[in-house]
Amino acid sequence: MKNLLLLFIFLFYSALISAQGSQDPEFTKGFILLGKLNNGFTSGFKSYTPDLYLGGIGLNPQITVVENVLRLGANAGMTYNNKKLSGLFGPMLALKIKTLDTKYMGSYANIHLLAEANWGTAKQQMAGGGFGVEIFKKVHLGITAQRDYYFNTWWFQSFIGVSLSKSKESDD
Amino acid sequence: MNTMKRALIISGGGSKGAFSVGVIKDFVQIYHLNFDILVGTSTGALITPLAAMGMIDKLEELYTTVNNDQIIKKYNLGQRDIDGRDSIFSFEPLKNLISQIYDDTFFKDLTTSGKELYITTVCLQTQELVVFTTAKNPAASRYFKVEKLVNADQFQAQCWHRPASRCLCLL
Repeated sequence: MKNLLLLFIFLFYSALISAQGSQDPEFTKGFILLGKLNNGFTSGFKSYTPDLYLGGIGLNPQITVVENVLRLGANAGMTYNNKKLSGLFGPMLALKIKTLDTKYMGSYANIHLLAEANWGTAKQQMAGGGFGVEIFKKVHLGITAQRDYYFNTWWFQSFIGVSLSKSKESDD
Repeated sequence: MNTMKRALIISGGGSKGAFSVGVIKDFVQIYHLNFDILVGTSTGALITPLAAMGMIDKLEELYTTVNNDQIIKKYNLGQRDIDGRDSIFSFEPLKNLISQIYDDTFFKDLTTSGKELYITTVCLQTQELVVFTTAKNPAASRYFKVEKLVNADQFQAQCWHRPASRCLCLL
C-alpha cells in the first residue's frame, strides 16, 4: 500500500511537471458526467468461491482539480453479481498520464490512471484502480481491478462510459 | 528639394514573415534606409507597425522565438463537435500577444511619428478589400475601400478578427 501511494505521488508530480508550460487540451477545467456500463467477473482465486459474472450501470461525475493532471469524482451505480442487485457508491480519482495528439491538429484521447473506493449495499468494501482511455471527450473505455475486503474477492471489470454533460470551452 | 517618399511593402505568408524581418533588419541596419510609407498584408500587417517605429530587435525576437502555442490554441478534436465550434483552433494566444504589443501607448507613438501605415484586410461580409491607414489624407480608390485607424483597439481588431471589426487580416 505504501509503495502504491509512493507510485501515485511520483506519477502525480511527473504529470504536473510535464503539464507545465505546454498546451494540453486534455483534462481541461470543468465538470464531466459519465454514464457507465460495466462488465466483468468476481473471483476469489484459490478460495471455494466460484468466479461470477458481474455487470452494472452507473453515473460518474468528475471535476478537474488540477488542470491537465487530476480529476476527482464519485461513482454511483447499480451492480449485478451473484444473482443479486446492489448499489455501489464511492469516490474516485483520475490521473492523466498521457495525451494522445496529432502533431498539428490537437489531441484526440488521453490515457489516465484510475483509483477508486466503493461501498456497496450488500456490504461490499472495495478499493482498487485501473486504466482508462478518454476518446474525443465523448467515450471512455477502461479496465479496473478492485479488492473487496469484506468478502475477500476481486472484482475485475471493463467499462464503457459516455459523456452525458455538455462540454464547455475553457477560459481563454 | 526631394519630396519623394520611400515605401516598404511587406507581403503575407505566416511564419515566412521571418524572412521579411531579416530583410528589413538589413535595410535599416546596413543600408540605413528609413521608410515613410509602410504597407502590410497578413503577417506583413503585423510587421509594419514595429518596422515603422524602428523596433527591429523586437521584431527579430518575435519572429525567432514565438512558437505555435503562442499563436494558436489547440483543442481535443472531439470537442469541436461538442462545442459547436466552427474551427479546429482558436487564435486567442495571438490575439493576446497583439494586444500586449500594440497597446494605446504604441498606437499613440505610431500616429505621432508621421509614418503612414496601410494594412490590407478583407471585409468578411462583403468580401471587399479594405485598407486601414494612419495616413492623414489617404487617396481614395475604386478598387478598395479606405478607412482610417483611429485607436489601438481598432488597430488590434484589424489584426485580429472581432465581430465588431468585420474585417480580417488573413494570416
